[in-house]
Amino acid sequence: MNNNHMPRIVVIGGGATGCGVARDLCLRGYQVTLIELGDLGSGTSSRFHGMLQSGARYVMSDNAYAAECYREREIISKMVPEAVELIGGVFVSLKNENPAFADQFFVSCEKAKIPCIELNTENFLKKESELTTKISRVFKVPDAIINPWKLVNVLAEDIKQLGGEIYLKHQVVSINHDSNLVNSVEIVNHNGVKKSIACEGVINASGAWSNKIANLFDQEVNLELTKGCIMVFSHRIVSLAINRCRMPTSNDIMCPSGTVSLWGTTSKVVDNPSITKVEPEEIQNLLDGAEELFPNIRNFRSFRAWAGVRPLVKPKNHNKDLPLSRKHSVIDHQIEGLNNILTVCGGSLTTHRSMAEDVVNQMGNKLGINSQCETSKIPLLNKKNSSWNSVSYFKKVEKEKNYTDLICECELITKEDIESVLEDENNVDFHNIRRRVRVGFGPCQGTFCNSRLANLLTSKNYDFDIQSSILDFWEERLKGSITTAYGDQAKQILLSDYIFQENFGLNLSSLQIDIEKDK
Amino acid sequence: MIKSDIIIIGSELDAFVACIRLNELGFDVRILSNGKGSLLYSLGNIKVLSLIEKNLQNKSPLSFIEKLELNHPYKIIGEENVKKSIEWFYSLGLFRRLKFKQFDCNIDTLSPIGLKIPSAALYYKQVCLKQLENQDISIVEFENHKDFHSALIAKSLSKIAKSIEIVQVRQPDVSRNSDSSSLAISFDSLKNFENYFRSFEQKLNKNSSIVIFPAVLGVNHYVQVIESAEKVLNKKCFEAPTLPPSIPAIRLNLDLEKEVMKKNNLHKGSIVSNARIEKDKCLSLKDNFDRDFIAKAFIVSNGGILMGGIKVYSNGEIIENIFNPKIQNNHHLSKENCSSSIEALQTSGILTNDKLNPILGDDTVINNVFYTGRNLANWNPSTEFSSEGVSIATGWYAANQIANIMEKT
Repeated sequence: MNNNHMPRIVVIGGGATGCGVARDLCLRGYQVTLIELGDLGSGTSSRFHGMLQSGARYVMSDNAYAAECYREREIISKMVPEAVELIGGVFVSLKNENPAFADQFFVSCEKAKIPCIELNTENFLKKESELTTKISRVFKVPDAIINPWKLVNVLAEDIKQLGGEIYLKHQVVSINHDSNLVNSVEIVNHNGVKKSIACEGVINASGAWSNKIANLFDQEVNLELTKGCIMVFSHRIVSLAINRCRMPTSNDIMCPSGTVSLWGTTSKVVDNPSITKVEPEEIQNLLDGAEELFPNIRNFRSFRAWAGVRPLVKPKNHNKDLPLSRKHSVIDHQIEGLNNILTVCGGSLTTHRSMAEDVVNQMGNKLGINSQCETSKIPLLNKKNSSWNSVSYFKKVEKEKNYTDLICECELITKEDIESVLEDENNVDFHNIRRRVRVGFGPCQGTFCNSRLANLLTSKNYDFDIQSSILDFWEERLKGSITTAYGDQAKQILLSDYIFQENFGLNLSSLQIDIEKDK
Repeated sequence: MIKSDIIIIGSELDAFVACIRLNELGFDVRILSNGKGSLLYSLGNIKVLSLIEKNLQNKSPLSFIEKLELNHPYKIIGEENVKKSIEWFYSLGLFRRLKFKQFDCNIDTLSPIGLKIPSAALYYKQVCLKQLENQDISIVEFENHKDFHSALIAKSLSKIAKSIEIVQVRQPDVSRNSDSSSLAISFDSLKNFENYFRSFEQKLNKNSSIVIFPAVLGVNHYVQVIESAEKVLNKKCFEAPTLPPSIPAIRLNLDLEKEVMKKNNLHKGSIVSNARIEKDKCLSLKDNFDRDFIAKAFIVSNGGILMGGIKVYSNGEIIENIFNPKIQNNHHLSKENCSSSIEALQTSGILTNDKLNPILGDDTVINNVFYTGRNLANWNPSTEFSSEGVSIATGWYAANQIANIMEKT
């Protein structure tokens, strides 16, 4: 296929969906330009509990969507094994809950073709000692966790190798059209430099920001934005994902990830996708919910909480009493006057690939191009066969006892890991490096590793302002960690403050921090 | 039942200071300690007070006291007492390595990332920015020593120095690890310091007048090590800090601990669980080994929220579990931004009267219990650069208060 004859499509949004769409388009021979306002995956894609759903969570509320989740989970864990850890999960019901629900749950899993087996409760509780003994039944399902940074970055690498263009830190300022056809998209970077991209089609994959994009061409995407908060605890409290066996609601997942465990989520309707501040009452709500499964939870150290905004599509004639579907929607803006622009929204990270398939099929129909989706068949160009296993990582470091190269001791990031990211010059930015290699993600929240990182970069002659970089890093981490400043975390916060201000001489109050900084 | 004149809970700087002062005044002390104090994260220097306002650092530390709020510990005990206590501390002269160089005004030392730290006194051979102006400087770093940030320090010093170079050398004992503690141990166990420094003499720029080492030149033999480096290299030698916990802080902590252990009992691993109080007096304490400690007065120097002396609960409550005194709770969890949240957490703590006795819920005081250092409310060590100063002043002051009440009875 000669690419010069294929239309150029602009994809707006560099989360899992946007990257999935761009890769799908590239594989079908389209010319592709991806625009992302911040960094890849910096929106909702990285602000969730990190689960690659088996789908079992939705078997009762939306069986077809549950089945789709499971199919996609199977595909993604084969396509991007390095970003997926097959930890497995269980659904637990409590003694005071209706036993009929558990039976229906089991049958519904079968219907959605999700493998599900009931475990012996007593044996299970012996292994998971932090769980309440009030658990009556346990069902094992193939839940997995996914590293969203890794996912979007391997997808992006593939897009680039397939000839696609990616503009990070660029904002879409206008979408221009000639009568009913979009013909160019204008973008601007943070220095104010504008650029116009001629195109024959636009796919809006900006998730929670979809409506903001639609407003640029005087249309609306009717979304319900719900903020979900997650708390991170500093140990693997459980060895696999623990879900409540009930209708999906708040406070029902504990998920181990790397060295930590994540508990979530809350659910609150908001009107601005950039509001990701966690309120004190949301923390109390999460702790109350977690206490039902983990009686000792308030004595565990939670070193961070964050919120993400989940965009669900609100159909025009939606009955208020019914929950919104998790299933994604493709919105065709033809009805309102533009023929070659589609918005894909809703769904989840687990189903990002099938969302991409759907929207790209529909774009093909509009442009009169008949092509097959290849994303579930053609492996990634740089496919690594090893699966992601956080525990094996620790074993390697312990075995080699090579502590001197460890820059981040919490997450076991070596000098070599950082140097490999530095080869790509665009990434010499504290926050980019942090996301790529996970420096500063662990329980110490960068107290010990970020000066090492600064020193490493300075010794390699990268020029940047040390004081403001480390301070930015610390402020960024504080936003998440101050919300859980009780118990041992209160001590940790004061220790970090001691080290950063008293010992390093950074002055936190010299820069007023705005938590609500607009994205 | 274990009897002594005075019990001190904790092993913070204020605990050691109070103990030494009480010994001086003729009392017998027991220390109940659960691990090391927060001093280990310091740079080993003494910070008394420097409110960071532009161009105000180069003033006498005590001149800032008038700017403080009325309920600040320095204001509670009075400027005169602060001055006396700090002078007393410098004059101790008890410890060989505790040779502090005191200044009339705050002077700047280097932080591990090359920023300025205003200090009232520096330990022997701690780097001082003034001495580096317009000098040719060699920074020595040891291979694979990741906690010494030579590049950051060099970048920062390049603004004031005439020339600057980083020289990488092998550590004295390559069979050891290259973290700060292992390096310090290898210097302590070195047989011939001069031979070692001679081995890399040629590597240094001939013209450089100053050599900066990472602050790992041994714990026990540190003075000999740095003096022999000066002799062999024929240049002034200084130490610049590494990431905490730092070796200079370990030296200081160890020296204080040794001095305290000479005359008093230090019970390690002891966590006080409750107190027996009658009227306005504490009679005894019980610890986690179910031992009863009887004393005439008690000092609580266990490091406040930072070191777990005071606990923060998930509902935002702040409680000190031994005496359950009134707490200044500044509600850090409900603040609008991070810096005011941290400020609120730092300044939360125990409310006392002007003798440092805790005030209870019913507004009564316990007359023979004293709180010191980070336990006290209404001061922020991080923004005031005052942590050692407040610890020394309140520790010394509490000891003097005890002497007063003991005279009366």
